[in-house]
Amino acid sequence: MKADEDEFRLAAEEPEISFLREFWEFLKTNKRWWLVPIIVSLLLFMALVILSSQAAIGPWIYAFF
Amino acid sequence: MTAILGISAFYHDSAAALVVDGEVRAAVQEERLTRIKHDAGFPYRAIETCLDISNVTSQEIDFVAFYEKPLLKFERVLETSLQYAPRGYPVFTRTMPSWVRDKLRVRKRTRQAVGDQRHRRNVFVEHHEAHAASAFYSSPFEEAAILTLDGVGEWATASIGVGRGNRIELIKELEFPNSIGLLYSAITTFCGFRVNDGEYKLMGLAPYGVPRYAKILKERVVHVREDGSVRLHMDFFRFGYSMEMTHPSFERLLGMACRQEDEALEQKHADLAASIQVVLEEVLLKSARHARSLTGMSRLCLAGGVALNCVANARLFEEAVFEELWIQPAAGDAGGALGAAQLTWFQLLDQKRTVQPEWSTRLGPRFNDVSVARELKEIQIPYRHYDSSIRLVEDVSQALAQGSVVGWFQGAMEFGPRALGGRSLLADARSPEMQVRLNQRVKGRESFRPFAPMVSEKGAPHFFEVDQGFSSPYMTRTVKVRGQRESGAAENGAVDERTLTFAERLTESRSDIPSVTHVDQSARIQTVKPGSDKKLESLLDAFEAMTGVPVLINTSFNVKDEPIVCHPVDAVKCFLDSEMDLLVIENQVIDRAKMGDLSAMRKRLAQRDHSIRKQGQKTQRFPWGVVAVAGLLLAYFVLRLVLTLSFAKSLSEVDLWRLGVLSLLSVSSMIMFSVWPQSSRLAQKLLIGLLKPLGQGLSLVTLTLIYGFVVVPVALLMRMRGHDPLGLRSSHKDDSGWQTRKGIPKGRRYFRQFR
Repeated sequence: MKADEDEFRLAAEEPEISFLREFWEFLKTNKRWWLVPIIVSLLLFMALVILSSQAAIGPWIYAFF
Repeated sequence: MTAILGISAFYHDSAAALVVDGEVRAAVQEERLTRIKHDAGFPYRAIETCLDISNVTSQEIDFVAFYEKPLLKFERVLETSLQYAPRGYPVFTRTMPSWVRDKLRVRKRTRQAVGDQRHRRNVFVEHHEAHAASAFYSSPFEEAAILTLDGVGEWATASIGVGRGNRIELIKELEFPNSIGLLYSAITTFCGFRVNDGEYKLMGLAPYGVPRYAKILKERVVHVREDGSVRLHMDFFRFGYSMEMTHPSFERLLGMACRQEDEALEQKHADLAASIQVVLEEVLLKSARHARSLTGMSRLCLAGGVALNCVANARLFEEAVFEELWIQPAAGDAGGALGAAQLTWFQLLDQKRTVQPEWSTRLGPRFNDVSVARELKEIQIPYRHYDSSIRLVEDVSQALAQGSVVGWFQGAMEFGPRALGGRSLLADARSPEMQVRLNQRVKGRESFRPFAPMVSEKGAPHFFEVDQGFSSPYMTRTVKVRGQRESGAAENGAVDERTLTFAERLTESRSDIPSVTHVDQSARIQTVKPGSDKKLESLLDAFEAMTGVPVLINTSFNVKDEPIVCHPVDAVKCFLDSEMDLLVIENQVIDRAKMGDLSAMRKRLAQRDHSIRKQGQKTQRFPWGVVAVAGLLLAYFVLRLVLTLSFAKSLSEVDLWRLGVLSLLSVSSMIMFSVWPQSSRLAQKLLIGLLKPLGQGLSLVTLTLIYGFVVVPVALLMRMRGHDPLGLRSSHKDDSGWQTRKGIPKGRRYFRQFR
């Protein structure tokens, strides 16, 4: 039990895991490899959504590209 | 100082809670601030309000605890898509945009809300763990069994655990799609009510019916095992692959059509409500017995949306499965924000827990007399200020005794679905007509819905079938109301309920306090403990002195489809929009009879809202980003013009026009956005308004391609290999649906969004 709390405190000092790294860790841990193609395609879709929702780019993206 | 911000968001009832050195300083639901009922958005305003209440800055937050593990939930959503492909196309295309936009970006949303701090970390607690923590850490127990039941979290739909000292441990869980909460919600929608909103209505409707469908439900629709675990027969449900919850086969099975929201309620709907109530109670009792035998504990803590079913909770008390029982008043998802923060402090940071004998739900914003008076003056509403609370209470109790409906706005706002005297509507419980009047003319809701009584603790045994010392401060259970004391109608059997029509049963008087006595002689009681809320206590005492009855109707201060009021101005708006007689905000009283022209008042309030909106627009930041993009585009056009002229030496007339017009557009946009920054917002709104359908169309096309070319082939391939993620093809005769929890998150895993 005590080890858990210590591990938590130590991990709290570490830098935050990156978004893509976390997805990779998630797949590696849960071993649901069949989800890889779906997750990859949804990540690409996510990139498109994020790009188009940026305040600076949003108004232009559909008009010019 | 260690400050932990708890957050629940993205499904329904988003909320924030702030725990500082183990003390719950504030907890607020987003809906109360945005005025959008069951608001599911990220709780930006609730976070801000929690920080204000606690006098903590956003930089001082050390941990942000989220009430779910988003990737674990995402896994369940994707596996469900694989299970049902290609039928799951509508759900996939409808839900994926919100996943990629928000649900997978909790860290980003957190940074937007409270900024970025090097020392701060995001913690992800499992959904049922957050429920369990909210129940156990707020309870007066040093150790207890824990039972959580709701629709669904990540995979789990129910869990059993143990709490000891500062630790909780979940040991068993039931997995999606087998969920008593989802079954209850499915029948809620089948009866024409909205999911996550109409469950109370279904519960209120149940006593009007007889449970004639219970047998068929248990034989064909849900298999309830002796240990309380359930197995749904998914042929009758569509929630895995459609936006509707039940399958047409369910209509055929029951021989009745799914009710639309605007259709009249009939006896068969009440019978179905009664039937599912019976099933739910059976599941709850059996699960509690199983929890007792598994843990050997004599006390139980209960949470999750199902724990808001106060009728089922009453059964749990009556059957005495446990010697003591504590139910988290904010048992729904909002309470998850609280639990996530509490778990981080007590368990993950290993801090000592001192058991608190009393829990208070009054964790929201409060407004003092000075600020209330300022607000009322600003909107030019006539009011009377009382210097003496004693005089105020006397006048209010007199108005109540004369049949007035009173908006009672005092102290901090409640956290959770129940108004417990902070933001309440009060009325005389003795009046037989008051239930219909309050429902139809004040709250504008269905006339069958019951009201809850508020009673002084010492007076409770005279009106309810409870012993001296009985306490129910959070309205988490029902009790029986004693029959009429003088006329003795109940004892004489003067009226046979079964001979009355559905409508007649509404107005049938059953006790001395008919407005809070439900058709089954029950009431969702709130007892007011001496010393817990002095003003409320003296109001009940004054009302008793005048009428001999220390009981008032206490219903939430809102009208239909509106959240409970939070701010004094919300209360005034609600007062103006309903037929309330008196509004009491702290020591200020507004009397409808002395109001004069109400339409002028409404106009002033609308103008005030408009000027606040305008003010918000003025304070927006300079649109550097938009100006920069316009500048880049201009540079591109100029460069292209120069290059074309340098190498090709000439331009076609069309090219010349095109580049000229685009360059002119860029220059004029840059000038306009720089000189008049608000125009960038207008331009953005205009473009988004015009092009949103195009964007949505593109999004739909992309998701359709992903579904058709990725999800369906993977699903078919996996199906050929026997993949059955929801276990729909496995045997129905398992001994137990409770599974031992695997991969229990420890230490550093709480920083991950998966187990």
